[in-house]
Amino acid sequence: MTIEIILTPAEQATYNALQDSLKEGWTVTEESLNCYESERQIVMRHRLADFTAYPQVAVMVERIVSGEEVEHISLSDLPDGVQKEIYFTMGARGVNALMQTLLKEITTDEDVVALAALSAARHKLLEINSTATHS
Amino acid sequence: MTQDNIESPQFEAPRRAEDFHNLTRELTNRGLNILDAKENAADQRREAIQYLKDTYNLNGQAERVIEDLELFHQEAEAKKEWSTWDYIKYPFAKTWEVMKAHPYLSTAAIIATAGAGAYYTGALTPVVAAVKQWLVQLGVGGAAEAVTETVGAGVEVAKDAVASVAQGAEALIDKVPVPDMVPGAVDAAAGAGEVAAEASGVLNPTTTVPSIDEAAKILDALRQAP
Repeated sequence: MTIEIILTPAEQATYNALQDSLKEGWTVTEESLNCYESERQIVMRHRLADFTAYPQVAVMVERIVSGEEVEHISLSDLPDGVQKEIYFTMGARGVNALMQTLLKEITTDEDVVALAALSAARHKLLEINSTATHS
Repeated sequence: MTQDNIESPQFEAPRRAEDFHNLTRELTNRGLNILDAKENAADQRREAIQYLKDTYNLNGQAERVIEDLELFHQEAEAKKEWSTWDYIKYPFAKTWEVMKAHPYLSTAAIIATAGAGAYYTGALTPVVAAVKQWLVQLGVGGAAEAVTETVGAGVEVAKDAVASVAQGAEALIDKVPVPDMVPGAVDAAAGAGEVAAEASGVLNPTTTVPSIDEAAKILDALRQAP
């Protein structure tokens, strides 16, 4: 299991303010990459989205299209495996936004585990973006 | 009939992956490999633009189509690299459970999945309208603008419902206190609101949330994309 959290200096300041018991066992390394996607890139990633493996997504869309209120949709309706497709589609900027939201709400060890996983996803996406020539 | 009136074959701007692959194939069949990294790449690109102009009468748009095609192939390569990432090494099952426990994260994840799923299934317009309406009810994600845009886009939403939701959004906005500019005070106030919201399981309507704002921004970008 990962024990590394990759955070920007600003995020580290927020993380460092957490109580010590939550930080125990984790190593923080610096996120130095900053290659976030343009909106055009994100739109293009939506064109590449493929949920063939997750029919629950099409079912969710169908429920919304047929008039069911979005507030009745639950994350439990979707399998956790969908994250891999979603994170690429929303890009490092979307994962970053999730992290910014989570960072301010951390109260449990599980929250820190999630922060670490998201930081790894963001880092991988930033790494991939760093070779891009079109934006 | 003059020469100008001769109809060119209809060109539909590529939208889905399959369309981009078809266009790439069409160009390649004419010896135009815009992905060629060799010395003549610039010439190939120029010729591809000229081909689109000549064949489909795309005078103002040919360059943009080629730019999109290049971006498509770049992002397709990026996705290939992402797919080889050792995703299962990380605790994403647990992360999903954490997201379920945080209303803001759940909301953002549902919006992002609905947006991507809607694009995938070709049901973008009704899904964006429904999600925007939900955001207005929650008072987050650029809610006030969303009402105007939704109505302006001619999306089929009952006018009365939109009007009442809009009034609700305005009422929420009226209640937002003038932010105290002392550094840290706004975050502290927002944080207190979030704790209360967390406890009640309801989103705090007076708070801006990075994940939801970003998801709303992307929905707008998708809606405006050709």
